[in-house]
Amino acid sequence: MKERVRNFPIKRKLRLVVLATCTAALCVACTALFALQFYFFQRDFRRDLMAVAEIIAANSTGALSFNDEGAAQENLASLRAKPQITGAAMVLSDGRTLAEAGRVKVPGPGEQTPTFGFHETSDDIIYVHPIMLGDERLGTLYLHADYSRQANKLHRLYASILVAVLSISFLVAVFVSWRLERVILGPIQNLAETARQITSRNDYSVRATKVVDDEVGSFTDSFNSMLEQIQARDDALMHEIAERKRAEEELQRAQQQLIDASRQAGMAEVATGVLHNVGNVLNSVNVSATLIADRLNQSRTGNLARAAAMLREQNGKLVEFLTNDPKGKVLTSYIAELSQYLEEERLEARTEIDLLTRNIEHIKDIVAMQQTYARVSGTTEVLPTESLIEDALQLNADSFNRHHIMVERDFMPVPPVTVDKHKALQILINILRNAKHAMDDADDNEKRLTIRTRQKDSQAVSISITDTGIGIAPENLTRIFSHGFTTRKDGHGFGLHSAALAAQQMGGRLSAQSDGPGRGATFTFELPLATPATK
Amino acid sequence: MRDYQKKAEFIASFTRFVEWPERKFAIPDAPFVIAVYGADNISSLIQEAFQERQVKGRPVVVKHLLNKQELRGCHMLFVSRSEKDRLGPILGEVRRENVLTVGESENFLGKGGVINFVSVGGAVRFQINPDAAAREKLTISSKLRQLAIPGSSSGLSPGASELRLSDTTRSASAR
Repeated sequence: MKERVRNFPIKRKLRLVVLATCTAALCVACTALFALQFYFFQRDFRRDLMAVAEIIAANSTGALSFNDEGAAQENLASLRAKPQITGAAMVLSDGRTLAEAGRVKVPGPGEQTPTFGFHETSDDIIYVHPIMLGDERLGTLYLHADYSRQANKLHRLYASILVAVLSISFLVAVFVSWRLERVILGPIQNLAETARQITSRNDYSVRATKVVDDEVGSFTDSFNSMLEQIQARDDALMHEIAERKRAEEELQRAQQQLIDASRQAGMAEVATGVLHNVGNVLNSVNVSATLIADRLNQSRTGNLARAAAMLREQNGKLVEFLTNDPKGKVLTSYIAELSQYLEEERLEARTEIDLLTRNIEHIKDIVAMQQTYARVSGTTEVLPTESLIEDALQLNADSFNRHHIMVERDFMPVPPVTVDKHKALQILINILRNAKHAMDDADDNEKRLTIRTRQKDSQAVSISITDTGIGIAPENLTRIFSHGFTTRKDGHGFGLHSAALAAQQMGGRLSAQSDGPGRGATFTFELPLATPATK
Repeated sequence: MRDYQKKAEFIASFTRFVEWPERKFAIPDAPFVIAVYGADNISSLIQEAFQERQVKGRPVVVKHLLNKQELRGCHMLFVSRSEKDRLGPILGEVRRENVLTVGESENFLGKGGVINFVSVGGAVRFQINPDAAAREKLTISSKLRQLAIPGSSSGLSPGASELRLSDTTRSASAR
């Protein structure tokens, strides 16, 4: 309730204050007046009763003295003029009732005479008055007065007067407050209207007009001077904002350039890796090709041709030649031997060609991967987590070999993930390359890279890559993903930053932890699970 | 006999509503004297009616007198019905002596008495002669006058018919 009143508009509050004050004052005044009135009523009621009793008693001495019932009755009959008196009786001193009128109760012959004065019953007031003549008591006068009915009548009258007075003064107060509240509210509303204009139009050049010279007037002055300050500050701010905007645009442009540059740099790096890989495989291809060429050069297919010519010379007497001529006898076994040799040669060449084909496939893969990497990304696909890791490792396999880095796979079976393959690979390659650098920079310890896959929860899969490199200082752990931070002298501080950004874009996240310098580091890459619908 | 008891009580009550001139109380500590003249059926009853009550601060003495000459000194005089034929001389004896005379004879007021008992419908009532009261300088309270049966002051010898008439008027106004 209090809270509600506090939120009333001032107009209502003012009216409430006026009305509440008015009503409270009236209530107090009326209550006091009526209490007084009631007290007087009560007093006068009794006084009146006493006066009446006095008169009746004085007039009745004769009647009582001479036991004149008629005269007594006549006296009591005059009480009819008093409507509040409902009954009366005159009792002689010996207890006999001389006369009575209306409803009245007198003590019976044996009963004690009540004390003189007022006796209150539930409805009536009984007044017992002695009838004296000089010092002599002739009898007793009993008067019954209907006090409660009279009092109730009075109560009702007062209640209706109170209601009438309250409602009339309420109306008057409403009217007066309606007239007076303008005096207070006018300037305030004027001020509020100005403030509203300023907020709605955002125009701080508006000024409030000073109407009166009271507190509201001085408030108007302060308000106006405040507006002036705001306007001045606004102008300055506008200027500054324009300046900043320009600077920001410049910065953005520079950043874009940097991104482009680093992307190109990254691609070049990848291309170098690809060329290394392709070069390595090309070595094997070369060896295989040379091997096959040598084999073919040393082939004994010529011997077979000579044997065939020999057989052709013996045309017509082939059977004799084969059975009787010593050459002919050897020829048969020689051909068998030769054919076996040729078969072996063919198998050898076959193996070599298979190897060659595999190597060429490998080159194709590498080139295809490079193409994938270079492709403009943006599409997401569902991929097995392990194949993603293997691809990334494949791209770094050569440099890992060269730097004698041992790769340990700790794979738990995890569900496929939804990723932008290009970005995911970029992130993984970035982490792997960082790990490699970290281990290169470290002293001659064991270079071991551990890759773990775990299902983090129902939403994500985590890939942790732990190295045994130089580690990260605790104070750098929080800055490692910020733009431009690097610990390498040739680093541009962009790799991890963009990796973290890319992870976020994919709905994943990238985090790092380290026990400190020299104690290795673990980068954890979380990827969102493929939702069943896209599986 | 019942009537006399009532009359005795009335006589005692009359003292409350009548004022005598100072002269009658000139002697301090002198008693208030009520005299009974004629056949005395009442003096003991009067004494009884007063009991220990005093009148104007004095003790009450009731005397049965036989000698007319003694009548002047009393405050109140009751003349018995037995003396109805000798009322003139008796009342003459106390004329201008400021004595409240009370009788029970028909012509008592006519003879100059102040208050006279009458019987109305078997009940004892009384009449007042205001002229006589004024002559004797007795102040009779209006309360007493209200209770009296009116109409007796006009004629010196009120007839029986007149009495009856006034009685009906009285009872009519009472109802």
